[in-house]
Amino acid sequence: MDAARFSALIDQHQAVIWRVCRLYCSHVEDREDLFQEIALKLWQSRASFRGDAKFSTWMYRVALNTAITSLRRRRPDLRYPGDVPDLAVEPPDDGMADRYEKLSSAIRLLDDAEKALIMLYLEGMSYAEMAEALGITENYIGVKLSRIKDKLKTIINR
Amino acid sequence: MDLHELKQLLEGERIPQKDRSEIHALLYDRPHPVLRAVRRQVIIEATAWGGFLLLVYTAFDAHTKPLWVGLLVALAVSVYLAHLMAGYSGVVAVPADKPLVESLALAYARMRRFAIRNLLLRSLSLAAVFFFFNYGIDFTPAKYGALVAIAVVFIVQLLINRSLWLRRLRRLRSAIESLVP
Repeated sequence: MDAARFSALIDQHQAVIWRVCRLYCSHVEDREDLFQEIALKLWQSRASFRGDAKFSTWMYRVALNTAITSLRRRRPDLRYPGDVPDLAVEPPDDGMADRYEKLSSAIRLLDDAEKALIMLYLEGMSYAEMAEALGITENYIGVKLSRIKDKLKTIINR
Repeated sequence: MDLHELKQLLEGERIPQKDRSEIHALLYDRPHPVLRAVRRQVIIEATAWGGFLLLVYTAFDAHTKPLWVGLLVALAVSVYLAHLMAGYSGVVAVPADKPLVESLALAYARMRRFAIRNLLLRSLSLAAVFFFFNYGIDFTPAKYGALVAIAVVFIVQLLINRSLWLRRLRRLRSAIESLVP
């Protein structure tokens, strides 16, 4: 794959990278650095994209691997209540906005692997796709998701 | 709100956009962000150690010490800085196209090796500097005091470095353990 075609593919699917950056970095400049790290890693790993999987699925795998193993400086999460992702569609009511903020904050408190799993789930991947990306069995994906949901409930209700 | 509702809301999330020329520049023109930071650290450390040795030679009669003692310090510090650059490049190059559990295990093993070597070489370079100060000195209580102060600074540095590596390794290990039944 040549550089121009690759840049075009990254451009087309850059939302995947931004979502991973947003999940793992709270500071804007850290997100920019992680974006570049992921883009470089994707470029270095391009030979492993076989074309039988979706490009975005392959991107998620490389992006999550890079975000978790990165040697970048990790600053504490300094987001405050009210500082939530910018939504194109406003939540229908204040109650929902509040619940959305609570759930988003709770997700940020998960450990790195749990964040990866919940992100793939929120992307609508099947258990089989998640199992392939993470290297664990489909059964264990179900077990982990159920535990993460319980953990999120506990965090939200405390 | 359940995760299904969150999913629907996130589908409408506003995402920043980079155009193709910016993406191209990230891939070809700008150095890797982690290596950029390491390069900066290496330059600062090399300058600081160079300045330090120069100061010691001119202001503290170090020219009376044999040349090999000074060369030993220069060699130990250079080896450490070269290892820093090569080691970070090696960890950054860990393949990321494998399933997460596999990649994390590989990254953990490589990072652990690098951390051990890093701490060892850092200790050796600091020991060489310490030896340099001790060599051929007629000790007085004031000089003993200065040596103890230097030793404390070195030990604190090593402990901070060690705790940084332990934190990174613990983070990776906990991610691996979280994915393995």
